[in-house]
Amino acid sequence: MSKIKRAIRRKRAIKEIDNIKPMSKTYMTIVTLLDNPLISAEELEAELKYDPLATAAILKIANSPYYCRASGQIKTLQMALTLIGNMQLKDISLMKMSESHLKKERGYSERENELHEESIASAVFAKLIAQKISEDQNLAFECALLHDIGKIVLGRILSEAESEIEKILASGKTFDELESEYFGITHQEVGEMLLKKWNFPEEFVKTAGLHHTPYLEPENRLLQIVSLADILVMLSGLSTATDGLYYDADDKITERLGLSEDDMMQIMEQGIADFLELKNVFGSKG
Amino acid sequence: MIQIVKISDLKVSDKSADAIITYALGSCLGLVIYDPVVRVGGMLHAMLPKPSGTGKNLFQYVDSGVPLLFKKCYTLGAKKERLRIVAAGCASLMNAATIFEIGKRNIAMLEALFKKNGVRLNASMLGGHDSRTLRLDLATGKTSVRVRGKEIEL
Ligand SMILES: [Fe+2]
Ligand SMILES: [Fe+2]
Repeated sequence: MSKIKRAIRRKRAIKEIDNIKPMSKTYMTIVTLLDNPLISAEELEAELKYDPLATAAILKIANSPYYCRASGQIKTLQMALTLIGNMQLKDISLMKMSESHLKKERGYSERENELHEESIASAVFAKLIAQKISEDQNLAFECALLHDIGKIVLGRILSEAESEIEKILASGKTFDELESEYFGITHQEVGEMLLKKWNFPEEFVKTAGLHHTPYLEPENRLLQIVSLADILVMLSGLSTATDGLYYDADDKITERLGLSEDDMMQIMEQGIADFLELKNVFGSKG
Repeated sequence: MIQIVKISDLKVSDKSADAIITYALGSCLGLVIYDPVVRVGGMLHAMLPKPSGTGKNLFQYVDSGVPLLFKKCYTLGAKKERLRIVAAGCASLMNAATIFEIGKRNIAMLEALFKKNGVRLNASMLGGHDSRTLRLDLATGKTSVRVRGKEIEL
């Protein structure tokens, strides 16, 4: 692969970032507001006044068995704040905020919704891992949800690489090596750029940018959690995407987090069950 | 009709118009059995070799799911000696530590079960790093795997 071609493709990939529509302003404001534990329902309602569908959408997820055992109970934002709390509502708003991006773009899959489902699953798995080792569950959920967002950009131009993909993969390369070799950029780097552009906090940018190379920051627990969640989702097989399992599984990652093989298996069992509960409210098929 | 087998799920059928499909086998085991005489077949999509915690779903595990797949097909009239048996999936990540070798552990569990019961695989596409879609057509018993837009008959 010539250097010049790679440089041209890299430029083209970066240019494609500008063709991705911005994320919903309403949800973005809501996510920011919900970061404050003292947020009142009135403040949220004032913001959501012009978007009645958004309130309904948030409450629908809040009422899923994943968040609320007595589902159907939560009828107002006030009740949601009391019963499941501002941080869970923030997770939910972030899911709504990213939903159309993750659903409309195919990413690396031929099938619809797979990138969205994989992202939700990563979030659910990351939350379980964080819970197990007493780290911030909501932050883990949120960063995992958006870790592969770069695929929505590279997914648009992946078909250009079609003739090369089999060859490069057969040579024993990982998919991120393939991306660098062909596009001169990886979905990690693109994700980093997108999240920066959308003004996401540093943790989001970093986990997206390093999720396939967690050993570069072994002390970064959040990064280890998101990388491990990604590994478990790939193992579970939730997507028929082209990149399959063509990634390195950092062999020290479970050690760094102090997790045993049994912990892994239990997180997978619970994670799949949680994922199916949460997936159902989004009405995606399969 | 197309019947979809989800993760930790199992489907059997004796209807010629049916196809059974499971999407995206990662390290999971996809197992198909088919009796061409009565045209009865089924598919299992099992995630883990055996329960570790509170696993209640018997289809989730190779050790409990595989016997159930056989039993359910026998109920529909399949006979052990006529079965064609095909396995797919059990992929792994690259440079993976043993802790992540779930695919290999699934294969080992399947082999142990088959050895004990004198059963053999007729075809398989196991291991590697591809996420595979597995399909069985009940009319013909044709079993195929789809990877990156390409279909391969097993
Ligand atoms: Fe990734
Ligand atoms: Fe991922």
